[in-house]
Amino acid sequence: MNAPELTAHGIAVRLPAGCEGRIYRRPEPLAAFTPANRGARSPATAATGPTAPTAPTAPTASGGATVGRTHPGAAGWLGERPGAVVHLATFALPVVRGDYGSGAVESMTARDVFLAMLEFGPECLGTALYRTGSRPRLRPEHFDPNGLQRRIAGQSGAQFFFTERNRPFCLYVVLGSHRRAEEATEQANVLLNAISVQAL
Amino acid sequence: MQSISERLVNGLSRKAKHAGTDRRSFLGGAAVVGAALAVNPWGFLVRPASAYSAVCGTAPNCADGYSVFCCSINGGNNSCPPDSFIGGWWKADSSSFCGGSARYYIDCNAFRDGHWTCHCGQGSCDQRRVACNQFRYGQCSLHIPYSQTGPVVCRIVSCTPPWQQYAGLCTSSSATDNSTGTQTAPCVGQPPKGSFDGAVVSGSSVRVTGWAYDPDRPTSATAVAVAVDGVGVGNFPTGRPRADVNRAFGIDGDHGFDVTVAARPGVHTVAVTALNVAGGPGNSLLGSRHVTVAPPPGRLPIGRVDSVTGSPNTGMRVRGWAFDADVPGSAIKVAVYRDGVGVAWFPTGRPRPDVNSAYRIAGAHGFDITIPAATGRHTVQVYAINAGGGRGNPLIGTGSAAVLGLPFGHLDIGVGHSGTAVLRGWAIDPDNSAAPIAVEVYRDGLGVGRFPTGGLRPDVNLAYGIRGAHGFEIPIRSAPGRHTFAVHAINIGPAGSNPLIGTRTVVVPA
Repeated sequence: MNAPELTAHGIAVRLPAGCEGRIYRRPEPLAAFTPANRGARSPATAATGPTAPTAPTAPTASGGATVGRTHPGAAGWLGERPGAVVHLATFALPVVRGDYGSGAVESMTARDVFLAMLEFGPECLGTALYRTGSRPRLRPEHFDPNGLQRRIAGQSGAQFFFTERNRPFCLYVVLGSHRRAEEATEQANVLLNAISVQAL
Repeated sequence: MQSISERLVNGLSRKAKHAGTDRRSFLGGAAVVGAALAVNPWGFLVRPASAYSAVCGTAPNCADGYSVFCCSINGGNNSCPPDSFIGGWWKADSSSFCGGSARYYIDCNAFRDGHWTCHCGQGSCDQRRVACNQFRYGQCSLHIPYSQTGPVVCRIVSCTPPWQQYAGLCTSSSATDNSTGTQTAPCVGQPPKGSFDGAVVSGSSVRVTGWAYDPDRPTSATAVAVAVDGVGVGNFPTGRPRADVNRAFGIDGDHGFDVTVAARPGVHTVAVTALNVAGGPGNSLLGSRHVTVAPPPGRLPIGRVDSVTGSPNTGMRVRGWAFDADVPGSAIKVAVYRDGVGVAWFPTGRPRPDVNSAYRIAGAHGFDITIPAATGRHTVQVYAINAGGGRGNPLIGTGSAAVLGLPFGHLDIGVGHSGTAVLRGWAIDPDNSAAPIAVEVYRDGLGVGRFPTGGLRPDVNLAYGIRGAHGFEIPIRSAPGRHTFAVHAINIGPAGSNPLIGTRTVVVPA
């Protein structure tokens, strides 16, 4: 039986048995960051740039309509460029996760591995940070308990910046138990090798 | 391999995580509450969080694993300390620290030159890790390779996108981590300024006015949070021109607010908090005022008289419903007048599901009343008695009906004599109680004849308080044997029946 394959944003993942994966890209914000829309204004006025201030609204007794209004810049501002993100894990991924795995790594057991691969914009191509070579082969000595975005007792992490098929990436891998680094690194390499990047 | 200092930090972190942090070590209890209110009023008032956590937000301890805010370790400055560089950024969406827009976190990374050693923050509740986490977000200072990148020393926060605030240094390739959205530190930037100028009651609403701005973003609009009796009503944008404020502080923009909120009758405390849109120790409570909202004018009861009917010889029956919308679930009273003269107040209380359904109310609001009335035609007026606000007891209906006076009487005795039956009794018509009337006699179901009253019956007159001669004694020639006699009184008033007043069985001897 063939392993299930995920494909999106020019990235494919052939999921190893017992693993979960996601490929996603967050939506691009549309509201411009201007002095006129820095307050909690309606999306309609904010998206069109500077306009005359809108009148404060008279709320209902519950205030629900006002409280529930979404700020036009709630998810960022125009110009932001979210890139493709790959999450692979040996455990069930929660729905809500940070791009580097917050919300997921907290639920890892000692036997689990988590991998995030984030794509960055073309402005990163050729820079000192990203021109360091190709995708790494993970080794146990790469991992460090302080190599984590957020230190969690027992875990260790490793991070790599590289360019593949003219696309800049950051790879971040978390091991559920640093004591099992030898064995877990093998698992991590299985996950990493499941990813294939296509040129855009 | 961890350094000695890193091992020390991690060991202390584990220990602190189990032991908890002494909250009194950095702020006294009352002061913590005050600071919490100023920093994060919604978080403090609405959520079941401690004052401690509201000041520094979530995960403030070293053991929580996050990096410290730069201002906590850099003399209060929200900037990278010496021997560090901006290494990357992320955002948390819908941040209350930025008025609901995204909040940006910019990491300051150390160089790998050993100038920084891993330790825990000190001196405030922001005891997060300093120069411990070897991590880089990767959008800034791209000329510095990872091989020269040391751990995250601290993080800067801003409501301005990094690719604008640090143009040329940071790119707009984004990363998101909403789990950090509730983290802050007391020293992050300046708190907003403002004034709660007035709270004016109009009807059932309160108009709240004043101004607010954030010194970190002096030309930008901000927002104020309004709470009534400690319960948040909503966040409202500034945006009203306040030239006086701009002149006083030398700033541009529209920083006035003019908000109307609803309030129930009674005395309330209205509090206004300016929301921090950039750095600073959080939001600023601009003040609170007491207001008194008067009760509404009230509503008068409503109702309807469905029917007024006469009950023969008895009185008048009045049926309908009434309720007071100020107390819609309660029975009220109705006052009944007959021919303009008050009779009495009567409670409602009869089920009227049709009324409940029509007005979407509970309770039993029907009435079915019988009032005494002499024979003849009468008018009835019904007033609903006000039980709530408003003044007066409105007339809910009128009606008229005739009370019929049917004759009545009694067949006292029937005796037989030779060839004759004698029937004795009396009969009256209340429509003319002094006048004699007639009675009709039936023998064995067949009419015998109509006979006048006219015999004296002082006992009857005394009993009913009337005059006249209302007795009868009627001899009826009959064949010997057993006979049944029935006597009816003949009505002399308005149309009505001739009621049976008695039957007797009489044995007539030969």
